[in-house]
Amino acid sequence: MNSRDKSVQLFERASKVIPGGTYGHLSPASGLPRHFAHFCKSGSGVTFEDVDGVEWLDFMCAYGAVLHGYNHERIENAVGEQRRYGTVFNHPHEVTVRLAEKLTSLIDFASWTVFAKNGSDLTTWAIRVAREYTNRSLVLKVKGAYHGVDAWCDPGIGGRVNSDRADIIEFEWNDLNSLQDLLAGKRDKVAAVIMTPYHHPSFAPSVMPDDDYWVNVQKMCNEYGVILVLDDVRAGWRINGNGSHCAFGFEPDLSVYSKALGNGYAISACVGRQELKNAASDVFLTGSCWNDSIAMRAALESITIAEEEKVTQNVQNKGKYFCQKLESLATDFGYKLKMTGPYSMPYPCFEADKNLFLIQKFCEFATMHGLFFHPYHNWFISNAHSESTLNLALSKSRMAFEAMSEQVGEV
Amino acid sequence: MVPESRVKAWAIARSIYRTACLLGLEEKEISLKPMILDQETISFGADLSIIFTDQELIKLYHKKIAIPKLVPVLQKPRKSLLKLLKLRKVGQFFKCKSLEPNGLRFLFAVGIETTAIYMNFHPKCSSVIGGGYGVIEFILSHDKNPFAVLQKSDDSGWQLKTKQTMKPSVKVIFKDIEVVKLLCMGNLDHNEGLALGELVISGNIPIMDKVSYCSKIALSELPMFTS
Repeated sequence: MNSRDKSVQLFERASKVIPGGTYGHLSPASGLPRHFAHFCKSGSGVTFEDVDGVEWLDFMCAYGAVLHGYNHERIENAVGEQRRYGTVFNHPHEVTVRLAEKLTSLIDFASWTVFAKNGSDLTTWAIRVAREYTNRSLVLKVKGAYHGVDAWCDPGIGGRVNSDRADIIEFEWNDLNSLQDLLAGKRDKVAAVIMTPYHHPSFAPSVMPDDDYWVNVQKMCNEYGVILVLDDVRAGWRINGNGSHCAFGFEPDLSVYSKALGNGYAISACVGRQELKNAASDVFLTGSCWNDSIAMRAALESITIAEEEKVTQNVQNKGKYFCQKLESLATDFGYKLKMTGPYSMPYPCFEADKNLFLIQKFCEFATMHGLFFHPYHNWFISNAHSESTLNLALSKSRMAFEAMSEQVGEV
Repeated sequence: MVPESRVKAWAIARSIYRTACLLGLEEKEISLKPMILDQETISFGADLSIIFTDQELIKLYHKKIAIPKLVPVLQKPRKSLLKLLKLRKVGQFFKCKSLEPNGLRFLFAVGIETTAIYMNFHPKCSSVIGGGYGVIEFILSHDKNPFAVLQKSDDSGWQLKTKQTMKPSVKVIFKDIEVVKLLCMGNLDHNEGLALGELVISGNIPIMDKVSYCSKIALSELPMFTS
């Protein structure tokens, strides 16, 4: 077992001044509190070091925010250069325009871009733009889908009143009939349909869209005059470098990006169609540090690298290699492991493990070999994962499976 | 179905009954098993020999004293008296401040009973729990068997069981009885407890998150340790 003394001490200090010690998706209850470190010290490439000096081989990439690897030299150099000029000013920096130009040229349907700091900032803003444009109130979302921390969609329980979700209606992923029924039944009342490119709920396997699902969703939205918002916050640049919609043959009206966009620097972007530009300028949008030129410079460099190095294709290939080998390894030990969702961001699940005991056990054993595998959230592959690091992870996984199979009676 | 306005009184009545069961006071002839009646009254036992109004039950919880309806007492004086003596013993259990390990196990189980009532009938709790179901085992680390099981496996609602009957969907393992006490007193944040190794939760975490939230609501309305 790795040393966790400093981690625990720091958590004790934290719990005195921070509710719960750590919170949100980083709260103890959301991970493996006896096995994961509570605090991190540094990261480089595909590894990070916790506060006890333990090095971990990472498969979470800051929950997707790191696409090129931690502390990426080229991005850090660009950021360093930008930092010489300052960070936030009374006016946007020129880099804002450069980044907006870059995104609108990269994403086929986009004719404008706005920026914020987190996915939530802009998923919420996007549905307000849809409401402004359509003069309607209802929003349709998929049950179990994550779109951020605002009260209309957050996955938590506390701090909510009924009116928060009075205008939100949920339907099941891949269920075109129920979507059709809702749109027909609420004709002229639905402002937006918001969805992620594929379904990636926490604590459950990921589900890809059925054939022609997206094409039909777009068709229905067009037919009923509803704005189609793509929440590409998590999947952006891991499915397609020009927006995940390109992989599924449709065009949304608005698309929101964050996570991989800044390779660890806080930035989000919403792009949209020309027709929505006036509505967009009528919906107030601002934040204290949202014009952060450093995060924008990081994003610009991150996108450029992604294009030059074909990063999206790379992370998919690397993910495919790793997922297939890991599934095969599990079979060697008599386990049926399925890596669901895209290879670049797979969600692991064992057959007949509805209550998650087996995946928890596997991830616990993996931590003993320095692997950061998450039992409830999709994993992420970064471009810093190389064949040798993936093979190292596979050999460590073999040891985890060995230990697990010895204890299987206790699972 | 218990209406929202009566959830608190019903939870108190069920907690009293559960405590009587755990203390070995429950018997068929002089049962304290509560029945919800009209006119905001609750009877302890189907024989209707002891009936309290909801308000008196809430008073009983807070002030440890309450007056039952007089007519049933006059009609069935012997049974009424025997039940009142049992209720007194239940009251004494709750008054005891330095509970023994077994007492703490009982107290925790009673808290789970209260939580179950809230999950079944309290509007906010039942909305949080939704259609969720499962079998949650509460175990002390050095024990083999759970000392309380909260389960919902069919349409009957959430129930407390004191023995394991089904395969668990969640296991909650407490380091020792002191952790149980801290939780009963509301003095341990479960996230902090998890991080510091005071308790371990494995299995279906989403359902446990919801149960944990409902228990906070239940125990904020009906704290286990009152003055």
